[in-house]
Amino acid sequence: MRATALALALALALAPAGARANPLDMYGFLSRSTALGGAVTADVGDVSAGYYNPAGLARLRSFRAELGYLYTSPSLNTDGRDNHVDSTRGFVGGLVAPGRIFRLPFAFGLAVHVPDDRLSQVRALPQTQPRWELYSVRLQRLYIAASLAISPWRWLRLGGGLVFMASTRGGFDISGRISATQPANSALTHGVDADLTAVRYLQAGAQVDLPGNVTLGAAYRDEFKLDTALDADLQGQIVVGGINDPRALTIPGHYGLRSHVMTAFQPRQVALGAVWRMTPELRVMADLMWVQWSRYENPTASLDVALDLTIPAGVPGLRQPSVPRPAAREAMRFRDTFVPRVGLELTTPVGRHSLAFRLGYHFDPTPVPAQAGLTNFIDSSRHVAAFGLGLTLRRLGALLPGTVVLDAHASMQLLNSRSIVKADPNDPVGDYLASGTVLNVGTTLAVGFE
Amino acid sequence: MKALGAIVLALLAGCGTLAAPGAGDTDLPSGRSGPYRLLDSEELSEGLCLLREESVVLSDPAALPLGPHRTALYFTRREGARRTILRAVVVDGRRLEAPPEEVLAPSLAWHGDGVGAPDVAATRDGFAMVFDTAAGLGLATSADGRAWRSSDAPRLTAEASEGELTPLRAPTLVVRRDDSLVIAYESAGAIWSATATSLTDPLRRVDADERTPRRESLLAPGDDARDAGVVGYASGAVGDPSLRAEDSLAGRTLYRLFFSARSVPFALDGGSDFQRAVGLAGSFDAVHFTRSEAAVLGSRVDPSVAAPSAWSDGSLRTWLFVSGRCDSNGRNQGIRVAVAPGNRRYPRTP
Repeated sequence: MRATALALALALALAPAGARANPLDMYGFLSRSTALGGAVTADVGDVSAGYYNPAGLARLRSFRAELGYLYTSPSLNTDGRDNHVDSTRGFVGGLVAPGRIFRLPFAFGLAVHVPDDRLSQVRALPQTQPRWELYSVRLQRLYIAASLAISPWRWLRLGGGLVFMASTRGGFDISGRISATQPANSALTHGVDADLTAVRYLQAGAQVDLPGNVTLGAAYRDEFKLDTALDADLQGQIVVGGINDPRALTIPGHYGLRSHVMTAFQPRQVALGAVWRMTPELRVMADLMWVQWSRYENPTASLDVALDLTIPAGVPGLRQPSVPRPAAREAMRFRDTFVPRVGLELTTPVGRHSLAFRLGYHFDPTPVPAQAGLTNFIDSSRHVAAFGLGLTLRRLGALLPGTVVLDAHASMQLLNSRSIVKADPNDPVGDYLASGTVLNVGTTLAVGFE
Repeated sequence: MKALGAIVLALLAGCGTLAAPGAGDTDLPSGRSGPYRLLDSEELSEGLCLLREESVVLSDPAALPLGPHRTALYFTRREGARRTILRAVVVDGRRLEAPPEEVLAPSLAWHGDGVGAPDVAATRDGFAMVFDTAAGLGLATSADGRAWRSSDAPRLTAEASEGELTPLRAPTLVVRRDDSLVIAYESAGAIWSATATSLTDPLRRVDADERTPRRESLLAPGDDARDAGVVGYASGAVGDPSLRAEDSLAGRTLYRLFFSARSVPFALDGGSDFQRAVGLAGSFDAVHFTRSEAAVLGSRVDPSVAAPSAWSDGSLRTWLFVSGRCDSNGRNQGIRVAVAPGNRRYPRTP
């Protein structure tokens, strides 16, 4: 229980600092689950349960810590030219601290993905600019999830958790007198007000053991949107002439700017899975996940600008300039998708140790509709094939009476070639062909204590 | 435990990476719709123009790609009333490979004082050139792009009943894979077209809208003479067409039509005048064109820009050759170069 308390304290200390969005959806979390194609909703029982299915945390009976590294190398092309989309890479890991509450098995889990080059990235692009919408910026995120699981009966495990996100609202106020003829003499005061608020989303899951060495699983991850808002207000007077000259022409005015941009979005997800342990050495698993992409919003910044000048009567030739109309944002019309996943694991004993071979596959249909209009959100359906190895070492000595597990994985995403054809022959971007591959490799070191 | 420590150290050492610059926007597709930027005297060895000659007007450039970094450039040389057609080879959009050479001069009676405003396309057997004369539009063929044989008579002359109220000028052509050709040309401030099934077959005029009783042009001046207080860049006249066909990797053929545009006259300080610009229109069938809302090259830097011809050098960069001023007062007219994307400056050519 001391370990549990320590882990809880650590989680409470870290969680409000916040995590944002989710590279795990795209590349998986920790080597074993990634090598099995992510088809582990019914089978997960390590630190990666903190992402795939919190109920799986309750499988563990001893403290376990995992640390690993993920590296991806995207080669995403338009018209055969590499667009040099950012690699996603960083540390992955976490811990599981089991215990008992009211004599029932109980576990706390912490799952972390920490990018090693930037913790977060926000880019505001015009909606006409081509961009690989589901890659690049969306995957440059810090992820921290804290989960709890309990096993009320031996055949049932239930879990839930929270992922914490940060949202920003900022304000910028300027007031005073602006000299139109001698700007350096302007007398202005300004204030900045930034507010960091927490956004949380829920995840929950269950695992049920059935006769015949079959386990069923279900997991739910809620939707979240990360909005960034920035307001600017400029209230003052434009002075034509000396700034302190009472005879100078003075034009009172107000300039207001309201910007709002959705910097991250995670769709609601429901996963159903099953695992069949055919023999003690061989298990096969399958998942089907529903992803609610249809609620995806246009990430282009919305901008409202207001200008109000009170021009004194009797000043000829001076008119209030017109304010440009904000560009209309196109509706996204993303589609919900169903993602099938399969995995296979074969374990071979090597003395008191063991070696596991893993294969996985999943197919991600693209949620992005045809881009015949102004927008250029590039994506294509992807086949993902994965392979992995796991070496489990047991009873290494008095200092480490538990287990040490070294997992490694490699997976390849193959994006179908997709033609983007435009309705307007004068489109500023025109037709193009999108295709690509993404190599994903990683390793995880796990230590289990007895 | 030593092995475990070694593994952890190896993991940590392997993760010592530095932040990469944000990316994902390299070599993105582009419709070549600009905006274009005129190169200046800091970027070209000969001053403002790529091609210039004292007391002579050089104009109406037409690019014929020769490879990823080379293009032939055909243009008009006008000295007094005499017009001839010259050819130069341009490397990397900004450098001449050798001095220009004359490739077609008035030699037949119907050529009159001169031949000019050429455009050249590759054919199955060599090259074809269209050009204008006072009598009409001519066609010439060549095996090597340098020695040309002109048609014995004009291939198309103005027909007032077809809407061609002024002499035909500034022709451009596209030769399709089936040897059929499309010719676009200027008359009466609009752009018209004609087609033929082969180089030797007669040209048939195209009506861009057969629902109307009169023949419609491919591109006419816009009806945005005064739209929200702004004068439309092509509200006065359009001309100097340069038509190209591009096959996209998505499997479609797109026709792009660069053209000169002129606004209606509007009030300026001390009088009224019009503005010139270069526009772009697109079509999937070479008949129905959509014009860009904004000019791709304005006249702020050079008020006389006209007669565009575009060339992509194999990258996503596009060069636009235009007629323009080679000096500040406009006494010397030559061939200028613009480029898109225009956000990069180039070192002066040697």
